[in-house]
Order: sequence, then C-alpha cells, then structure tokens
Amino acid sequence: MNDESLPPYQPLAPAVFHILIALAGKELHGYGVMQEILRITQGRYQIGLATLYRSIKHMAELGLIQEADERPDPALDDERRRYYSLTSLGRRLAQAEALRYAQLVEAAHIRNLLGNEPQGGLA
Amino acid sequence: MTPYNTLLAKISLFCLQIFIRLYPRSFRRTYGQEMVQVFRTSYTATYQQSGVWGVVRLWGTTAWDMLVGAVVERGMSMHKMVIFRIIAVGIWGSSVLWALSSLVIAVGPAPQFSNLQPYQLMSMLYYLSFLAGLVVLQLRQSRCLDWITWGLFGLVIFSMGGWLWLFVFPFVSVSGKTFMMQWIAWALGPSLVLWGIACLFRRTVSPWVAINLTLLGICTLARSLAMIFMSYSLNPPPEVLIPVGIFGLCQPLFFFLLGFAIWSPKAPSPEHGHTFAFQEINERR
Repeated sequence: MNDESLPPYQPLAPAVFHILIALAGKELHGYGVMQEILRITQGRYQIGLATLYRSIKHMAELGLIQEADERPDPALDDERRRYYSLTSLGRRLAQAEALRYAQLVEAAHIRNLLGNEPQGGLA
Repeated sequence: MTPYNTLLAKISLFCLQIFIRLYPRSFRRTYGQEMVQVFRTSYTATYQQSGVWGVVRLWGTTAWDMLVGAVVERGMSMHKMVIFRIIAVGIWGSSVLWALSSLVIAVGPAPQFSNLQPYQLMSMLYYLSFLAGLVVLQLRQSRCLDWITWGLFGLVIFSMGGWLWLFVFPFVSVSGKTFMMQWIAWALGPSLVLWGIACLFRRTVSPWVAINLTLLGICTLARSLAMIFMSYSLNPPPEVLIPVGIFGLCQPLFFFLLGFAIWSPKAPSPEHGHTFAFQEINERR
C-alpha cells in the first residue's frame, strides 16, 4: 500500500513514529504520551522531555497531530493539561510508516535475522 | 509533604526553568508551562519509585536533551538574515582591521609587526570571514546559479583551504610557506575574477556584486605579485609597482563592499529581476 498522496515525510524520526503510535490508541497529554511509549516499548525507549515537546511542535506544524477539543475525563484531570490527537494525515502517515517497517521486518525474516533456523550453511 | 516540596525538587524545578529559558520565546509560551507540569509529574513518580538516585538518573537524561533541544530550536528560530548580517559585520570589522594593520606595516616604524602572532591571527580571521562571506553569498544566490559558478566557487573554497592550512600549521619551513602562499593567491585570484565575470555575463547576481568579485580577484592577484617582489627583494619598475600597490590597498575596500552584498535584504530571485539567465539555465536543463 503506497499512499502517493502523502507528503514525503518518510522515513519518520523514531520519536515522531513512537508518538504517532502512542496517539493512535487514544488522545493523550504529554506525560501520557511518555508513559504510553514506555509501555508499548516495554521500557526500551524513553523519550526525553525536550524531544517530546519539540516533536509535538513539529508534528502540529505539519498537521500530523492536533490539540484535542474535549478532555477524556474533565472531572479527574488537571484542566491546564493539553490533550493531543492524531489528524487523518497523521494516521495515514503512521500506517504508511508501519507498513514500511513491516516490509523491513519481512526482509529481515527472509534473511534469517529473526532467530529462525539457518537455511544451508556449514552444519 | 509532596515530593516536589523538598529542596531537591525545588532545585530541580529551578534548573528546569533555566533550561526552558534557553528556548525561543514562542516555544516557551506554547509549551513551557506544560513541560514544567510533565517534569513535575515525572519527578514525583521517579522520586516515589527510586528516591534520590532516580532523580539523578532522570536529570542525566533530561539535562542533555533539554540543552541539545534548546540549541536546535534556537538555530531553527533564528532568522537567516540575522546570521547573514552577523557575517557581514564580521567581514566589515575584519576588513577595517586588515586595512589598519596594512597601514601600520606600510608607514609605521615596525615592519616586524607582520611576524607577530596577533597580526597572523588577525589575517587568519580576515580570510576566514571572507570565506564565510563567500559561502553565504553563494548560498543566497544558489537558486539562480549554474554549474559554472558553482565550479568556480569550488576553486575559491579550494584556495581558501590553503589559507587555513597555512595558519593551522605554522611550523612549515619558510620556503614551504612561500610556496603555499603563492599557490593560494594564484588560485584564489583567477577564481574570483572568473567567478565575477561568469556572474556578470550570466546576470545571476546583481552586476555590482559581480564587479566587486572580479575586482577582489584582481586585487588578490596584485597582492600575490607584490609578495613575489617582496620575497625575492626585487626592485620592480614604478609602472608595475604603482598599480600593484593600488590594487593591493583596494582589497579591503572591495572586501568591505562584499559585506554590503551579504547584508542586503534581498537575493536576486526569478521573481525579482535577473530572470533571463535563470530561465535560460532552466530551459537548458
């Protein structure tokens, strides 16, 4: 699936792709994005505070994310927090990037880089 | 007591606010408050989970991230014209200093001044700012420059590299230095002359910038001629020495004028004049 209508932003920076994936599930505030990234990467990727907000700024400028209008639970939440959500462009870009990664994984799989049994060799 | 009421937390927040101050104002206004909130939440969670060492680890990742981010954001927010104008001011300053020092050597009682380190440092700064100026000029005009001017610009950079080499490695023998200086001057002079003429005929930069480049090249050649006379203690006839001297002395002036070309707010563009050569080059492609 090659979406030719997408702007040429690929390959995405790791921080941007992680944020897109984190926001693909639900609207989140900054700290929520950090925690979600930690959760989905099982603690292997910790995004820095500055990297997070610089990426958010950049992504908002490119129209990949937007500030959410409604708060998920206004009663329980700090009203100064801003929630972010994916735009349709952001979602399509995340899909395209995920597909690109999937193709890479497939290529790695074919070349026995994923811990499969070696094909041939000196055994 | 909440964890962020401790002294450590207060120091941490203070440091974070200093880091945030390093960011451009627009960034601070939009995200500064939110960054503080996120940091407070992270700090609380880390402190409760891992204590003081956790906070130290948190700062280990945060400090570098904040610092690098601030530098990048500052660079991105800085208007290009500000950078151009800083370089133009550098060029003006160095050309004035160069002219004054040439005057000291020419009429002053201390000809050995040219062997002093401050003088050599100054001449290095002169040529470094010259190089920076040429790079900026080339980049500003790059939309309407073709491969000939880019190629000539490569020659200029190549010969300027010789200057760097000359000053970075001061322990080269005197004859080696003389050879390199000659090589550089003879490479730089014709390059600038050809670059200027190419720009002039193709109308890819404003004519006075092209003429200025050409004259700078002639001045550089004149200086190298003078250097030959000086290094071999020749007594040239006045009809050779006078034009050489005049052009040698004019170099800082043309250098000064180059500063204006870099300072000027508009680079020639397809929309603002000089369209003929640009269209022609595009059609040829």
